[in-house]
Amino acid sequence: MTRRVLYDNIALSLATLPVVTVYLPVITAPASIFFSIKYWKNPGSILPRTKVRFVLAILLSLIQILLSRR
Amino acid sequence: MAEKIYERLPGRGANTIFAVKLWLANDHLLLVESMGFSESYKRFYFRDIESITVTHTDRRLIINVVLAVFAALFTLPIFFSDLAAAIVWSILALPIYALIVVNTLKGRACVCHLTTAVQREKLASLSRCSVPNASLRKIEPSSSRRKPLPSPSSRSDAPLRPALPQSRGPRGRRKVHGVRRLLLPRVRFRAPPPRHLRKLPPQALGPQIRLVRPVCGYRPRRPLSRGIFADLGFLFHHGPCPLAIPTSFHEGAVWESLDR
Repeated sequence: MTRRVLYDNIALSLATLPVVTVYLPVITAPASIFFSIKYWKNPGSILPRTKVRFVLAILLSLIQILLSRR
Repeated sequence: MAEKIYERLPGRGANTIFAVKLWLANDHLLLVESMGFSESYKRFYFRDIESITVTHTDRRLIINVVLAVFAALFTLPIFFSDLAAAIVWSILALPIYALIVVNTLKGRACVCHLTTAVQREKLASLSRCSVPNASLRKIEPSSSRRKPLPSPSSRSDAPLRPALPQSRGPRGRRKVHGVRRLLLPRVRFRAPPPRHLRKLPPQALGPQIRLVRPVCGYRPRRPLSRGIFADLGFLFHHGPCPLAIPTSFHEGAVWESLDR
C-alpha cells in the first residue's frame, strides 16, 4: 500500500477555509504561499492531477494579503 | 505531472471515513482511498485477482424506508398547521423526497468484493448494480490482454494456472460463475441464488457478470414474517417471567428473606 500527502489540497484549504474568520488569514495566507512554493515539485498524487490547486492557493492568498493591508 | 496511465472507472463510494475510487491501469486495478489531505493506494494485479463477486443487498430499500420515515415526520404537520408553517414544513420535507428519488434512480444496491489469494477487499466504489457492469466491461479487455509474469515458483513451461472448465452441480446448476477469464474458478458457490434473483433473466445485469453468493460470509436470512412471529412467541412465552420476581426483591428486602 502506498500513501501520498496531497500538499496542493492543504495549500488550497489554508487559503480558503480560514476566510470565514477575519484574523486567521493573516497567518494562513503566507502559510499557504509557503506550502505552495515548497511542495510545488514534490510528488503529489500518482493519479493524473494538475497544479491548478497550487496556483489557486497562491492567487487567493495574495488577494487576502493585499486586502488585509488596506 | 504523473503519467496518464490510469483510467477512471465509474462509481464512487465511501469506506468509513475514506472516499473510495477505482482506477484502471494496463496490468492492475488501483483502489484509491482519499481522506482530503492524503491518499492511500492499493494495487491489485490482474494475475493475482481470483474473482470479483457482486452480491445484491437491500441497502437501497433500507435507506428509502429511513428517509420515508423522516419525510412522513416532516409531511404530517403540513395538514395540521396554518399556511406559513405548512410552507416551512414542505421546504424541510422536499429535500428528503428528492433524496428518495435520487436513491431510487441510482439503481439497486450491491456489494462488490475482489478476492486474491491472500485477501478479500471490498470495492466500495462499486455499490450499485449498474456500476460493476460498466466497470467490468472496461476491466475485462485489459485483463484478457494481460501477460502473466512468471513467478519464482513456476519457472517451468507449465501454465501458471490452467482455466478450469465450467462444471455443473448435482442439480444441473452451474457451479462456477464468472467474468469469463477474469474470474478464475477458485471461489466455490454453495448456496443457490435467492428466489427473487432466480426470476431475473440472465441478461438483466449484462452478459459479463453473474450474481453470486460467495460461500465465505454467506448467512441465510430469516424471512421478516417468520422473524416477527418468532419474536412474538418469545415475548409471549418469556414475557411473564419478570412477574415471578417477588416484590421483596424490588423493595430491597429480599436479603432478609434469604437470611431466614
